[in-house]
Order: sequence, then C-alpha cells, then structure tokens
Amino acid sequence: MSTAVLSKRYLRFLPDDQEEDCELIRSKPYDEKENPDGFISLETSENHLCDDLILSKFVDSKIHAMQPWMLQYCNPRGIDKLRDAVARHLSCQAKSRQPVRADDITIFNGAESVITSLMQVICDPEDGFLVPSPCYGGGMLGITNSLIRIPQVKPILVHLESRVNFEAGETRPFQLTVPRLEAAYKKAVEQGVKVKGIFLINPNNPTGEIYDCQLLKECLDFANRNSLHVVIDEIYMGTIFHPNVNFTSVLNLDHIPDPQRTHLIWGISKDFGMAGFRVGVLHTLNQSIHKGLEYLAYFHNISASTQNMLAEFLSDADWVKNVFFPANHQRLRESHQCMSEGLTELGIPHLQRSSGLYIWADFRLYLSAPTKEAEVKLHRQLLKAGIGIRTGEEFSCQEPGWFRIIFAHPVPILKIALKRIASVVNERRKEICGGELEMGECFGVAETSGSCQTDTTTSGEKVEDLMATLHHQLKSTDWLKENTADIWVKENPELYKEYKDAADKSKE
Amino acid sequence: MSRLEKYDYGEDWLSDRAVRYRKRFNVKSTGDSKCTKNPYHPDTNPNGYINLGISGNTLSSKIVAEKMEQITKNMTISPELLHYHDFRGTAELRTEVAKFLTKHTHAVSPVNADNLMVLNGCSAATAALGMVLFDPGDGVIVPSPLYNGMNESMCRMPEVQIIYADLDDKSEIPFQLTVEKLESRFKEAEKEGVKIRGLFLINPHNPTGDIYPESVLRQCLEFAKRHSLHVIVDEIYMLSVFGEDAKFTSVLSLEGLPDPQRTHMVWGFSKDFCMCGLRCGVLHSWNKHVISGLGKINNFFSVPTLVQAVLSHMLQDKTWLEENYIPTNHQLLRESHRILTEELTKLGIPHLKRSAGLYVWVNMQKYLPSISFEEELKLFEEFVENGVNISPGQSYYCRSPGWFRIVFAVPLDTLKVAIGRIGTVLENRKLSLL
Repeated sequence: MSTAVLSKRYLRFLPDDQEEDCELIRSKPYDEKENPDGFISLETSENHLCDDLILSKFVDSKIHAMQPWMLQYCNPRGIDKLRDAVARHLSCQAKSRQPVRADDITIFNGAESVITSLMQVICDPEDGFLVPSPCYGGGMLGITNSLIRIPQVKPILVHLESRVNFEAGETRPFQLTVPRLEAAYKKAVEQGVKVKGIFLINPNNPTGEIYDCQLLKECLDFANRNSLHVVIDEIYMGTIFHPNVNFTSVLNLDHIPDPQRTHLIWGISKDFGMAGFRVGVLHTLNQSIHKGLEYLAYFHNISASTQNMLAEFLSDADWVKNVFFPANHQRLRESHQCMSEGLTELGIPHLQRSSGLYIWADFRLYLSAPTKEAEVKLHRQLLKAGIGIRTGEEFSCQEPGWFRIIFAHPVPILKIALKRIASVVNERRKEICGGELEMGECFGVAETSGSCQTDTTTSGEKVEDLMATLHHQLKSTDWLKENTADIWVKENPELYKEYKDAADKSKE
Repeated sequence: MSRLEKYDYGEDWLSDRAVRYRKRFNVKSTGDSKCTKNPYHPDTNPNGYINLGISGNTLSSKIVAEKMEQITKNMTISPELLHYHDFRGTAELRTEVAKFLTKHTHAVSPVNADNLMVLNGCSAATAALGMVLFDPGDGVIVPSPLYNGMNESMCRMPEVQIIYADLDDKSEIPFQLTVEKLESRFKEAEKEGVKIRGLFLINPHNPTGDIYPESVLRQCLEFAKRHSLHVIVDEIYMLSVFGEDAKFTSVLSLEGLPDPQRTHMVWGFSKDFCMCGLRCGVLHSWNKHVISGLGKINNFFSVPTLVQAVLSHMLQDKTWLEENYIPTNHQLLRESHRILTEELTKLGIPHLKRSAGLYVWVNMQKYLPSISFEEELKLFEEFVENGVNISPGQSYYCRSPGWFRIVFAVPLDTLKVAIGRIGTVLENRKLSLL
C-alpha cells in the first residue's frame, strides 16, 4: 500500500534510511562472555554506571509493591506525592532562591513529552523557536523532533562554531553568545517567521558546556526585550561530575526578568540513569500554561505506581545527596578520564568539560573531505569496526566531523571501544599521510578548559603544522588570559587598524 | 480568537492552538470533579459523592491489586528495566499481548507482535493513530452517542473533525447502528464540503453496552472500503463481555476483511483489567507504513519499562487469567448488573438490557417535565447534589434527551447506597411532577 493513503502529516514522520548491513551489525550487541566481538554502542545518552546504586534502593519491595489506589485514575498533572518530592529535590539540587512549589510542576512521561506539549501550548504551527546548535538529538529523539513532529514548530538553529571569535570576545569553541542569538533572531524575523522563544539546554548536550550565570542572565534579558519564552532544559544538572564547578540553575537566579515566560525542564533519565521510568518535569510559574497543558498531560501520563516509586526514591534526600551523587560522580569522573585520555592518545581532539555523559570529539582531520558525506562514511567505518558513536549531523552541527561519544559505561568497555576507534583512525591516518606515523602525534588541537591534554609535537614542517603547535602551546598556558584581544588592541592601535583594514578588504 | 479576548482569559501566553484545545467543556466534568474532591467511603466519608460517572471497574480491582502486589513483591528489578527500551513496547510484552489477543479475539491467524504497538493508554493510541492517518480538518465519521474521550483524543493533537452519525431512541431497537445511517451522514457531510477519511467504532459500545453483530461489523467495514476510509475499532471492553450467551466479534476474528491495510484495532488494560491508573494501551495494525509512522512519535507516548515487565508477568500466568480472574470478573459484573437493572425495573426506568461494558444506558425521560437537554442537565445536577454522579446523555453527544449512563462496576454495598440516592431523587421528582 502506498503511503499516499496516510496523512500528509505522516510525511513528517518518514523513517530514517537505515542501511541493512548496519542493522545487522547492531543486532549483535557486545557481551563480555557471550559475544566479545559484538557491537558496542556509545550512542544513547544513558548512564550505565550507577545501576547497582539505584537498584539497591528497590531491594525493599515496599517501594515497588503495587497498591490498590494506583490502579485508578489519578491527577493528570502527576500525583501530589511525586510533585512534592520533585519540588523538594529541585529546591535542594538547584539551590533555588525560593522553595519550589508542587503547584508549579506538571509531570510527563519523559522530557520530550514536556517539550512537545509545551510547544503546542505556546506556539502555533510554523512559529519559530531559537535553538543553539549543536543541539541535542540522536536517533529519532531530539529537540528538533520534539518541535517539528507534532507541534510543527520551526527550529531556528543558531549555529555555533568551533572557531573561537576572539575579536568578539569569545574564548571557547561552540560558545553561545547573545549577539549570535540576536543575529539569528533578526534574520528569522526578516524572513517573516514569528519567533516565540529560545530553547537552552544547560549543562549542554552534546558539548557538555555549562553556561555561566552572566550568560544566562543575558539570554533572559534578550528574551525579555523581545517577549520571547525561554525554555531551559536542566536535565543534566546532576551529572556535573567535578566538584567545585559552578552551575547556575535558572531557579537560583536572584532576578528573572520575565518569570511568566521562563520555563524549566528536568527529568530523572540522566541524573539518575532511569530513562526507562519515563519521567519528565515541567516547572513554570505560569499557571495559564499549566492549565493549557492539562488537556495534553493526560496523553503523557505514566502509571501511578511508577510515580509513587520515584517519589519514595527522591524522598530519601540524604541518600541522594550523600551516597548516590558522590559515588555516581566518582564513577563518571573515572570513565570520563579513561575516554578523554584514550582520545588524546589517539590524537583525537575533544572538548574537555565537567558535565554530561558524553564527550564532543573532533574527527575532522580524519574525514576524506570536510563534508557531511565524508562524516557519514567515517561513521559507517566505525560501525563496521563494531563501535557506534553519533555524528554531528544528528545534533544539527554545521561543521562536518564532530561526533558525540558516550563515556558513561564501565572502563573495560570503553577500553575496547577505544581500540576499535583506534583501528579506524589509524587506518585513516595512513590513508591521509600515505605512511606510518607515531601514535600520539597530533594534527590539530581542540579547545580545552583546563590543563593541556597531550604533550604533542608535530613532525611535519608545513605551516599548518607549525600553526597547530603554536595554537596548542598558547592554549596550554596562561598566556591567553594575560594577553587578551582587548589588551592587545589597546597596546597596538596602529597594528590593529592595519589588521582590520586588511581583514575588511579580504571580505569584499 | 482576538488578542483582547485572549488577554481577558489571562491567556496572553497561550497559542491559538492551546485556546482551541481548552474550549471543549463537558458538562459531566462538574460531577466527576466533585467526586474526586469529596469521594464517598462507606466508613470514613459516608456523605461523600458516589462516582458512577467514570467508566472504570472497581468491582474486581481487588483481585487485580492482589495479583499486582504478588508480582511486584517477588520481582527482582533488573538493570534493563532502568534504561531506554524499544518505544514500540518491549518485545516481551508485545509477544505476551499477541498471544493474549490471538486467544481472546479468536483471531483468524496468530497476532504478530510486530503489528502491535504499546502506548500509554488507549486515548494516546487513538490520538497517535489519528495523527498518522488523518490531517487537521479531515473528517472521521462516528455513530453517536459515543464516549466523550474519543473526542478528546481526536480533536486535540490530530485536530480531526468528528462527524456524528446520530442514532436516536426512535428506532425499534433504540440507538441501533445501521450502515444506512452511516451512508446518509457520509453523503450529507460530503455536500457540506467535509473530507471524510475515517470511521471510528467502539465495540462493545460505550455508553450503550451494545455488541455489534458480525453482520453489522462487516457492513460497516464494507462501507468504509467503498469510501476508502481508515477504520479504527476500539475494543477496550473486549473482556468485559459478561453475558453468558453474549457473542463478541473482534475485527481480528473476521475472515476476508474488506480492507485489512485500513483496519486498525485498539485495546488496553484499563477497563478489562481494572487498571486505568497504569496507563497502558495497545494498538494493532497490519499496515507497515502506519507502524513505521507511529514509530516516529511513540517516544512521546511511552510506558515505563517496569510497568511493561509487570504486565508481561501478569499475562504469562494463564491459570490466574483463565481460571481465576476472567471468570470471577464476569460473575461479579453479572451480579452488579443484575442488581442495578432489577432496581431500575422496580423504579419503572426503561434501560437497554445489554451484556457488555461496565455501565447501563437508561432512559429518565418520564422524570423530565419536558424532554429537553436543559431538563436533562437539571436532573443531572440534582443527582450530583444528592451525592451520586451519573452521566447525562448530552455529554456523549446523544441527540435524544433524557438518557443517562450509570456505571455499575463498583463494590456492591456502594452500588446499593447509590441506587438508594438515585431512588430518592426520582421519588422527589415524581412528587413534583404530579
């Protein structure tokens, strides 16, 4: 039967092209004993490091035993017990300025359901929503899917770049700035799009970036100036695995310019590794939106029994704070370190961040060409070698060659994964350079936020190689902090003018 | 809606779509919400509201609750249950449901688990199907009266137009579905410029309790084929057929379906297994494009992995299912149904004598000073004021005023108190009408 007999809307739901041989590879997953050569997937953002901790809470069957009231219809906004427990948890975890109220919370079956419902209620079809990219995606899940499929909202991608625009005051690759948001907003408005809001995910997926307090405030001010909604997804709030890293939740801000248009999303899938429980949370002070959502929330309910289990679980705040998170973060640190060091040894630059379950890695040098096709080709080569990692394309990244690698797996699995990545990357290196090269040699360097990742030298004598070395050396010292672009401009006004004139000429 | 009106509602932040979603108000919700806020309990709250307005089975829920408790207490929660699973539904649950449906629908050929999808409720399943099959503004023809939930499912996310083919109490068998009625409504709607693309049936029927004979079902499917309509058949009350001689025909049991690629079925655990709160429904389609299209939105309608595991366990216990629960449930439903219908007969209230569902469809016209929807609403309000919530026919888009749906699948002692309260209202009415 042809698809013409289905709705036109269905055309937005067309399946991805999944080649048969890839399906076959995926169908034989890795198992330490049964299938050591099986496929390792580091694709889905899930935490596989804390199963034992979570399960230890469910040993007491009282928590998961079904009670008669759970079989009946319950409050479509979520049972009171869970909303109370989530409110208390968020107040603590997010260090909220005011205690979070259960009345400001609605529960859905997953964060995607929150987003897709919220979009239907604040946007009409064809309205736009600003989404900094790379943005979370992967498989059929992702922010763009949640915007497009049911709500028919246009994601207005605000493409961030790996190239740091020092002149504009940027200091990091893929840095979100308000000027970038403004430019994208202006362009969309000129094209006749009714832009209704901005979607932020902080800590960021896929980069692991944590937006600082100042940036958050600037984004909220920008939104307020243009009467835009701000939807902030803080679902990775509890995955900040390095201590003493500053994270500012929107709940912690001392002043929110437009509280009725500021909405927070959270869930248990990432912080607690319980994606199978399907719980997403919307927090907003806007009761009109909660009322508007009531008519949709019913279609995104989860069983009262699951809600009750989770409420019991979260209510042991002492265990969550003093047992679960420290142990979980320790394991995340170890796995992150294993993957990060492994990538460095292989000569794969990557962002080193302190949150999330993934690393955003730069495979550009291993592409046969800086194109999406070459990225797909590399992806397939990795698949055939038995390792799955998501392409940047799945995160709407404009620059081909970036991949997201999940590290929240036990170290032994990561080591095998790294060997498989190595086999592909070494093969590519041979093809590119037409000969043998030492491991650890690095063609280029990605931005890091901390200490130097490798002690690299390059053996080539090309200008690009020397530039890469210089770039790397600059990054690994405090030289940049002491010699910012602003300071240089002040100290060298004539040189700056000459540089600017040359740059302007080359643009023409 | 103008900006000024939006502002008056305090809805400055809401999209036009959200305001459309909100506009559907159903009269029965006043009764339902009073019962939620102040529910009757024989010991702790004897003056509370008795809810005979929401279709759910609290009569046999104790048996199910005990089984659920037994399963969950003895279950070891494995790591897989914590993580993402196949959003089509776990292979384990789909396999068990396939076996279960093959048996209980008397399917022509074994149900294939790949033709099934598990979603968080029949309402969600209907809404998801609505989005894949129909575009906004498309028409779906539906015999009325009809349970109001279908309207919610089809009119929100899918934004489909429901075209009611009105059945009334004037026919020899009141509210009898005939394909002629569907045809004539279809033609009318076409003239009005509505593009009808679907037919929706619920069998056993809610609110009347009718079971469509096989011949009627076939005629409806042939009507649909003539007009290239997709058919969604909601069989959520499949196991609530309690009449000993009753014969229920599932679409899955029909040989030689006129258009299998356009015939889709929905079933769920809510009514047959007394678990509206567990949020688990199933849809069946032979159409691979429908299944793959649903595969793009099923993540929004997912069911927790643990719940699916528990339900799999339940379905695997064939002894409990076939020798304990199903026969006991039917017996209890028969008993409650008998008690209610005997009382209705004593009070001289005509009602449809049916063998399925959790409710009885009754005719209160003789208690109305004039047969109108306003009087029906007044009577409804009087029932609620007197502590018993039964649903007025207008909330089911019934075109004949004066009909009410009374749920009987509640504990017997509660049912008897409710019947007493109904009797009191009607006694007072009788006196005032003299």
